[in-house]
Amino acid sequence: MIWRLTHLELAILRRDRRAWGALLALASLILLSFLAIATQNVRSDADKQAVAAAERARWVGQGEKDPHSAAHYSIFAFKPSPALAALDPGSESFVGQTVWLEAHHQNDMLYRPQQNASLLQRIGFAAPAALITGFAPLIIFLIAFTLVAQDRERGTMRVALGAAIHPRMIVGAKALTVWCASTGLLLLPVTAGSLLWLGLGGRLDGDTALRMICWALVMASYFAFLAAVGIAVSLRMANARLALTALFGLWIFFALALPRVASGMVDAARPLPSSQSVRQEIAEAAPAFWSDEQNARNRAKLLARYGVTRVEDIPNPRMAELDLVERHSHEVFDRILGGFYGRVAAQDRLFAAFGFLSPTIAAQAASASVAGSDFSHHRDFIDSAERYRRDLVNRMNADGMGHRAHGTERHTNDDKLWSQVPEFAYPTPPLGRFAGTALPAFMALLAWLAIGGLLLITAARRLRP
Amino acid sequence: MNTAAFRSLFAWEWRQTGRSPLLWAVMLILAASFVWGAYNTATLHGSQTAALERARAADAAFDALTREKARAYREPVREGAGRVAYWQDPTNVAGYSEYFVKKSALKPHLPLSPLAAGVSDLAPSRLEIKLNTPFGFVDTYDFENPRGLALGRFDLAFAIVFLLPVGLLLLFALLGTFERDRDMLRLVAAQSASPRHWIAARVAAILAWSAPVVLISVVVALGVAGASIAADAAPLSAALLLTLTYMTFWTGIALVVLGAQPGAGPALGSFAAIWAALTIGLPLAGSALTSLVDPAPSAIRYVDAQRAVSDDIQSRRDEIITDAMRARPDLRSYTDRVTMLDHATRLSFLVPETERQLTPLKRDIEGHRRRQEKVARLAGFVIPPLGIESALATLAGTDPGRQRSFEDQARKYQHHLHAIVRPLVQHEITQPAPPDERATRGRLNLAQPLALPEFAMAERPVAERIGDALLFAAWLALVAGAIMALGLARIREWRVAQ
Repeated sequence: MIWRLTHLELAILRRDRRAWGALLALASLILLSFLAIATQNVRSDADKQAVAAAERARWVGQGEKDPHSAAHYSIFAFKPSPALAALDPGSESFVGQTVWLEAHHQNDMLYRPQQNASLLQRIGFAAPAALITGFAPLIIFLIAFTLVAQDRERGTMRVALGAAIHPRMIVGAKALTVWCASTGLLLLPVTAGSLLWLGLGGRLDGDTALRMICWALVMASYFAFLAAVGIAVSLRMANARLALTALFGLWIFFALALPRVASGMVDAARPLPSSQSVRQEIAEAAPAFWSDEQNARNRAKLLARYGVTRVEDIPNPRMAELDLVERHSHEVFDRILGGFYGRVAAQDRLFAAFGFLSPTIAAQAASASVAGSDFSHHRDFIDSAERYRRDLVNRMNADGMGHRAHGTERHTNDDKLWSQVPEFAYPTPPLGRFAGTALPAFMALLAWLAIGGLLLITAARRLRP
Repeated sequence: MNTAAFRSLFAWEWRQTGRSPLLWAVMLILAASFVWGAYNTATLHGSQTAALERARAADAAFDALTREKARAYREPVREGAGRVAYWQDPTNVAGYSEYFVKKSALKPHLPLSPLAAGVSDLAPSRLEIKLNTPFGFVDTYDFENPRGLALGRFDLAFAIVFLLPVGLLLLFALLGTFERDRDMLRLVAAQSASPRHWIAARVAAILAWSAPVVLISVVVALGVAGASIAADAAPLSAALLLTLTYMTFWTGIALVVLGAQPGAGPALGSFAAIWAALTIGLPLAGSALTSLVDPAPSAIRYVDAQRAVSDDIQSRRDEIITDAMRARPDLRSYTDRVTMLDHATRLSFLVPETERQLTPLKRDIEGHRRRQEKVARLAGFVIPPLGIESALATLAGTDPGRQRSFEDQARKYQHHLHAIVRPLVQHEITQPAPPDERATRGRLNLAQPLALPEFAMAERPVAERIGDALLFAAWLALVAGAIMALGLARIREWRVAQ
């Protein structure tokens, strides 16, 4: 019965040019945005792969040199775009895409895609997930309102209730209609398009498919809540104007204002230190170019470490000092930069917790986490690249330390050593590894879904002919 | 209907509108959002200003430490305090040039900066200037939480550009359709007022209440955020004029939609569609189109080119330096010393060559960026929300144009430092080689660390910034006038039956 009613409601909805047109317009924007970002990502990933291969060739073919010079030469590592980045680029456009893995420095990731964006590009950068979380509420509320308002205006609701159809059936059918229409037009095409795109590009593996399903589930749950609220509010308000005002207000509050307000509140509650002060702190604790006085202290440590009294008794004192400084810097980077990134993650967790105030925030945080485009995933790349850098530099320094070199003596090595360093590869972390940051958002989404269901049941119970 | 009758109708509408709780609820929410937006931006800019101060202090401390080291290294070599390596020695002009010349180019915020965050959350306000960084500075940035950047900042400009129209349209839709939804339109139509006068009076009444409240709220918000209102009266007035013009633009849209005398539902639907088209649809389409027509040069390919050029230069290092020295009358006779030059002195010849080879790519990137900014400026005349955001950022000093100017000035500043330091470094090539066993800890071929000039950003005259904003305001006023005229012209008869 409910399916027949839903089918009927869908037919009525399709006859409403305004509501159907709005749905189609948003669906087109979502697809346009998906195609634009997906194309850009393919181009960018191809560039990254080509240049990464060139970097490897340069590394192996750098010729004979001092291993520490090789560690300075090192490589650039490139971050591949997450498989679902065309659906939800999350933080991707605002984080660097490459990092130089040189000795002594844990460099910043450079070249953020939106770094030099014009105002048009920044305002016009709207990903499918942003369009869905930001504007689907408006469209869904309008559809829900239209479905209820039409029945009210025509008096068909009264007739239906008088025809022994259970109110729960009517309300359920209306909510199902709104959910089916929104999911069918706003979610399914872009999800199917994404699957096809990834399949053709050879990026559709088990983890990606699972992420895709979870992403679709997150958005479908969001739609279900919106449909329930839209129908419940339209039914419960005393008149259509009040219902419309309430729904419009909910959209402004949930989707337009609160996400940005919450982001500002998170910044205020857990402020980040400035990059400049972080860099300054690192430069003071682990300078890349140390003073002569620091040299003296380093030498004392080395003598103690080697258990000798003269620098001449250390096989390669220069390299040993470089290694000492390098390993000290690792501790400094972990403490200062690690702490800084930890604070960024704490900000994101707090933002996800704001999902209990707005379902849009819950959907945004959950979507980026599932798509693998939130900061937690980005940090995983940073950490992975840093581990590679440390291994590379340590290996180069170890080779130097293993060969005697004093005064003007220099130990050099060649591609036999360089090729022992494995190629940099970043394995995409499996779904769920970094879900902890967005956990409050997932819980909030479930809570909103339950609230939506309750609202719908209450609205059905109070529906009288 | 004569003027006096219209005035009387308007006065009645004005009084009725003023009693609407909805009007005051919307105004209150808008005012609160303005205050939060301005405060939020002021907080960001406050922390950035504090970071700039810390950078200034760190530079001063670094200079003081350099001077202290220079003094200490004048001492003779003794047990436990031997000769200092050139890269640790500020009395060695080459070492000084590469390892001790480190300055900050700082972009301070303008007093009216809480008006718009603009690019201030994305573009760096501090650039580290070193002598041998190609093209002036590393393409770095101040880290802001990328989630917040992707979401966009809740600043005053956001509240004006996005929320103000939503609030206004809500008022127009609900207050302008009351009679239709209550089936009272027949009664109104039976009066002597024409539909054009009646709708115009209602819309004008809403604007007459909301405009002063909005403008006062903007001033209050900026005051709460700590902007120096009295000192910046001229740009503030321009910002208020822009806001007012923007309100009249949306009023024109309201007249067009309400002219069809719809109910609240269809009116809100139409308003939402127009709002979404102007704030999301057109910018999205415009951005996609410009990216398609003029795609950005690949930053990844630039990395590749940098590495390739660096390798090429390193492989031909001595040849490049020899050629550069041969081209200089003062250095021509010293080319036999090329292989003995230290790293810093070599860089003084190699970095210009690196820049020369990378210039075409860099020019492509810069050219693309400038073209995109030009397109965005022009697109602002077609997409009013974009234009108003851009104009507000210009008044606040957070626009991309000021950022470009800052970067250009930083590059010129580096050239200025080059002109002071590099001749000293390269002149050293002509000097006799130092003895292997020198008596002092430092090299002492630089008597004192140089008193290098500090970077000071030159600003565009305020009048120019205001001029840019007023040009857009004038255009928007024209557009608003045209839309209003169109809207009024379309209202010919009562549409009592839907």
